[in-house]
Amino acid sequence: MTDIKTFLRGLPAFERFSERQIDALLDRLHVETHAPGTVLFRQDEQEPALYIVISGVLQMSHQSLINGDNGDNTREAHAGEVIGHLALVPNMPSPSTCTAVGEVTVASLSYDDYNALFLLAPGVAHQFQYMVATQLAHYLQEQNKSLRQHLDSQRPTASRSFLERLLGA
Amino acid sequence: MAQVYENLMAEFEQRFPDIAAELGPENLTRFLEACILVKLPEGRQLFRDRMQVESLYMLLEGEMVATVGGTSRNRSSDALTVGQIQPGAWLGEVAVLSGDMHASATVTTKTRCRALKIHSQDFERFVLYDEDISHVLLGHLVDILAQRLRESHAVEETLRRHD
Repeated sequence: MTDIKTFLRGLPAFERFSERQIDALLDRLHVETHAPGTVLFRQDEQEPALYIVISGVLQMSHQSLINGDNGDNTREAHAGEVIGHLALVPNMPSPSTCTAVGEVTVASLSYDDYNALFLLAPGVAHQFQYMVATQLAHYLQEQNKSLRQHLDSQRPTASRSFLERLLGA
Repeated sequence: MAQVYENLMAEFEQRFPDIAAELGPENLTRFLEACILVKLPEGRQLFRDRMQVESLYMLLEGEMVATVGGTSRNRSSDALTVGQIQPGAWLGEVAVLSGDMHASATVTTKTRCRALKIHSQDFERFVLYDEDISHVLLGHLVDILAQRLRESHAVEETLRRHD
């Protein structure tokens, strides 16, 4: 855990926290190593936990439901990145599938442990809450772009009237 | 002046009762001191789709409409309505929290409106460095954003089935 403590303290998101706050976080984190090809979570399913990537590479792939291949995208998550934020929001499907490219080690934080942090180390919990809010806003921006792209591709066909009814016009 | 401020606090408590209650009088006062009351005539564009956003707004009175699309030459008639905005709503929070700082829709007043305006830098100062206020604001914003994302997923799913 000492190495992970050093690792966490080196991340910009956690560098301002005290020894006691980092220890409280460490008590709630679960370090896991996953074999290549392991799927940590799937698109449209609830993410099981938030993950801090300690080592290795994960592939995050999103498949658009409405824009075909044009709306698909893939990116990689590397050491130091935080993924799976939506695990901390109840009843919220994941926008992407996360797969270990090689062997990966992550520190996971469950929804229950996140809530416990509000009592044990409120500042750290607020940091995760801020990360969740910014990630939700980012996903909404992406979702709006996707809907706009779909809308543009439909104009000026008859589908527009359907879209207008659907979106409340 | 003090009477005006008391009236504003009372109005905020009426339009945003949960946030006001959770903040408490002292934190609410500090938050409102960073806000400016703005009055907007009917037909005023508060945000333009894909244009820069510098402030967040909390609607106290009146109605607004959110639209996307429309050509620059004929924006109003060709635009698609995506939301009706009522008192108690936040505006601009997606642009600010995402860091994108660009509006994802055009927001226009349907009636005369009154809103509280807070500059994005003041908002970020509260959110990043003031735990008492941050916890309350972020808690509510996470709920609002999560609900919007669920609704957006539902729209996407309906579109997929329609296609």
